[in-house]
Amino acid sequence: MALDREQREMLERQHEFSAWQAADATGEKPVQGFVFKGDELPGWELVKSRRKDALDPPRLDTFWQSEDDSADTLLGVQLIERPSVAAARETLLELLGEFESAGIARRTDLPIGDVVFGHEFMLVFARGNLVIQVRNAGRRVVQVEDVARTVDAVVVRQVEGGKG
Amino acid sequence: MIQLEAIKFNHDANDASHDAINLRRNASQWVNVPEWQRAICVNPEDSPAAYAVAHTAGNAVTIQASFSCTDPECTSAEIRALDNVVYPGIVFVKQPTGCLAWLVKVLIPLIRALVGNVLGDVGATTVSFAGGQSGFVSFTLVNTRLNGASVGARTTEWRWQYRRTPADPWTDIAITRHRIYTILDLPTAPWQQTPYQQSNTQLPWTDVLDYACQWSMGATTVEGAGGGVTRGVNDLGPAVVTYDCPGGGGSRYSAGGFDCTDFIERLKGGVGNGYFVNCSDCATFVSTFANALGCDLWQSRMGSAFFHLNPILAIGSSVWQPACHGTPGWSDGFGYHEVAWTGACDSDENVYDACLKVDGDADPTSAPHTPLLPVNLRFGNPGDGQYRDRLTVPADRANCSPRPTTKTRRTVS
Repeated sequence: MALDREQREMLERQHEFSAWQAADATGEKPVQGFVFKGDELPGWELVKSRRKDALDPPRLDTFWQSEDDSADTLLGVQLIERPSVAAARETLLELLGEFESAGIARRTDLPIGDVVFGHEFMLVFARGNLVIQVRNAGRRVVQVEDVARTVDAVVVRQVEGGKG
Repeated sequence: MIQLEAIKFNHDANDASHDAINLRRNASQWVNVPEWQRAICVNPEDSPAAYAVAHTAGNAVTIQASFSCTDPECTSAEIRALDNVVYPGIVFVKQPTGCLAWLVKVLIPLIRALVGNVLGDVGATTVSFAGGQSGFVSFTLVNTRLNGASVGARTTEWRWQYRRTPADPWTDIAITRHRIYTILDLPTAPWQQTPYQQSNTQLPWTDVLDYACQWSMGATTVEGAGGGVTRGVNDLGPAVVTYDCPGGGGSRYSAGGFDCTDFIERLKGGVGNGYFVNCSDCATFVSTFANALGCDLWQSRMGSAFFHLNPILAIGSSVWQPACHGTPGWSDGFGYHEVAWTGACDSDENVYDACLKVDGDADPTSAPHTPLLPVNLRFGNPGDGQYRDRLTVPADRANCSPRPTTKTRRTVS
């Protein structure tokens, strides 16, 4: 996801990168090899999990189906591990460059992640050396804040523990 | 008893002028050569091969086949294979004469022209046996229709026959079925022909050709093939994919490379990476699938600053409006947009945009609207009525400028 200089400067300005590029982060040791067991999100069933090492950067893509709703309700939780907090912030900036809408703004009102962007239907955040996206992936669109909060709590336990 | 053991279509990995191109099935599966093996290959898709029409034009195309013979006295035989659609089980013990000969002479070319396979017949060749094995023997294809063939994925069905002497009748050995792809030219980047090894995931995928050939069936030009793929992708909405309004138009299949494996899973009815796509995804689908057919398209962005949109039909939507009007996180415009683009990806080049339909009438800024899928449409400059004017409101057309430094061809995985 290498950005050219023009792209990068546009994104830095748009998202005020300097304000969060080096902001406080959770954890000291980077988390590596994170996996979901499938019971982390109450009310959601893990229907697909695939690690994608050929993509740059590598990522874990997981998809969760609502247990009490139709198959049309599907959430995607994507987790990217970076070698450091600084690298995670860079990746977060690059991910923000993948949104065609210019209206994805930073959220300082949500206690999710170290830095979080998005809105009720999509959140992308950095937590320690991890970058996480929680997004709708099915026809029936639902709010994602509760799920994002739960995912964040799960990863915080690993980030603060520095478990590999 | 003579048996057909195996057939190689891609018998020369370094050249595609007289044989099939180098292929794989997908990111994890390889196409074994010989592509057809006795007892293993039953259905056409078990035995795939692809021919780059521009490269085989005017050349004799050959295959290689190997045989075994259980009769120790069998030292040689003449072997051929007929198009089983043209000759469905017809074995003439003697050459037909009289009216029957005339009828055959008239009917066979007609049948071949209407329903004959693109590879034609396998010309009769004398095959020698040593110790009951022939090894691989080269056969020249005759009556082929590869010259000027259009894009397609077709079944070739051959009736293999042998005779020990010219006086003997032809005896059937086997019927083989093959999935034959005809593409306009060698696939272009990100697809590769070398290195030809299992670790190279950028060899063209038959999983991609299955869809690309279907979408562009019958195309004889790169413009036609690119247009077919663009329409095919756009037609996926709203049943298979739709524009990512709830997610802010985020890339689901194209961030950090083309996640082609999951796109194909989605095409086949699976989860893939979900229902939503954005412009970068669509640009990547179009250029990658079209380039597998021999087109030469980039994925490239436009937009030096935010630009408001004219009413459009985003993929999967039947409502004319600036993309995602009224949805949280949207303000009736794009921060950038990405399309499949020719050449230098600038104002003078043409775009193929499967992500949306613009208004194709004289006034794209207001109703009534005439849906126009941008296919081989010049990007243009403000005021000239081309793609840029149809996409963007007049005041923001300068912002919607080409950004050719972003042009890329995402690696497939």
